[in-house]
Amino acid sequence: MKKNHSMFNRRGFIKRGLLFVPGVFYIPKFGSNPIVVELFNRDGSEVIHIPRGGLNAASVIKARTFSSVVDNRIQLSNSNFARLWSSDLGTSWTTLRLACRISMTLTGADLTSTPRFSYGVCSGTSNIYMDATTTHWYGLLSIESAWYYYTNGYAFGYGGTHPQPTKRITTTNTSGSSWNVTPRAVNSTTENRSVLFLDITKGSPNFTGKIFCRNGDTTGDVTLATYLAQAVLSSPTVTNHTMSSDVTLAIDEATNGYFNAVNIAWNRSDALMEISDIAVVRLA
Amino acid sequence: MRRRLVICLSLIGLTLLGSAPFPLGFWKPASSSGSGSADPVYGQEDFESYTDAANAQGLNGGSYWNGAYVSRNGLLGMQSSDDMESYSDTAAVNALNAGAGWNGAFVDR
Repeated sequence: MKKNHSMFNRRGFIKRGLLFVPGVFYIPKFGSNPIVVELFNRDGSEVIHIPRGGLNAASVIKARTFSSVVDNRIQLSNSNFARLWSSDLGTSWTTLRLACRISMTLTGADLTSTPRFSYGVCSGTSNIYMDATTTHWYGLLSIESAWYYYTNGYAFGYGGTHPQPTKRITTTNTSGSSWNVTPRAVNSTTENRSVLFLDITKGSPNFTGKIFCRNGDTTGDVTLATYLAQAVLSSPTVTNHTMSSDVTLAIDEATNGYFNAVNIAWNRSDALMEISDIAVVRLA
Repeated sequence: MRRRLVICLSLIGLTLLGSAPFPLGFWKPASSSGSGSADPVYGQEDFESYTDAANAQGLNGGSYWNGAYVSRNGLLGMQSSDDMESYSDTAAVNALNAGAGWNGAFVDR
């Protein structure tokens, strides 16, 4: 068997009298995000592969002030977060709503390379969406390879495939058919918060999901009072917002884990997703 | 003659019915003491023994109940919420633990 004396492995270094330092010590970073490092021999065989290893840029609180009122948000930047909801609610609900007000920073151009926004619920917080493996997640997942930019906002797609209810178990995603709406998020540096509700109704085996969101290329603000008032209504009404159709997807909580936490993830660090508030509402 | 007999039998029947020995209490609550008191046998409660703003859960006043009140709230509506306003600007989200109705802090990666 031919020995591998490539320039880029330990044996090759030793042969040439060089000091070998594992490549992990010089992983380049862009901002706080390490990138994949891969070194190959001339014959194409891989010498070293250092994966990104998940998410290194954690979410932060971002304070923005409009009309002298501070609105703190969770700002997602190639990051995810999760939180267990009340144990009083537990897993006994029939219909649950994950509610938030959402906005985004803008790059001024379309987002390409498949932006992935996942907005839903998960089982536990050890292995959540966008971790290397996920215990059990269900929610809204953006599908399209590009999000289009419109004046002062983004659509979660490009006018083709709307987001889909999706479940993720370990590393496998399974999606239902598309909803009939595409949410928008408007410029977070201005007073332009939109509502995003995900309603989940348990079934056996099919869970029914629907979303309530800004559905046109509009701007405008949803106040905290409006958000709180509408979040508890089964048929909410907010200007420029629409309730989607129902879409079903088979879910097996008993086998894959009972949902007991909110879990949101966003894979981009150029346009940042901002969550002004978050709530879990039991509708039934 | 026959008419008189029918009338007599009717009178006897009515008399017997009016003095029936069994209580006809199913028509109305029997008295608690059997002595004609106005207190009903079944659960009675006027809430006057409780303090203002007391949680109904576990209250056990009144008469003729078979246990205390069981009361739960928040059966529907908002169960968990956080408006993030109690956090500091630029704070890392991981381990933040304000808001209401959560079962743990944020986990963020």
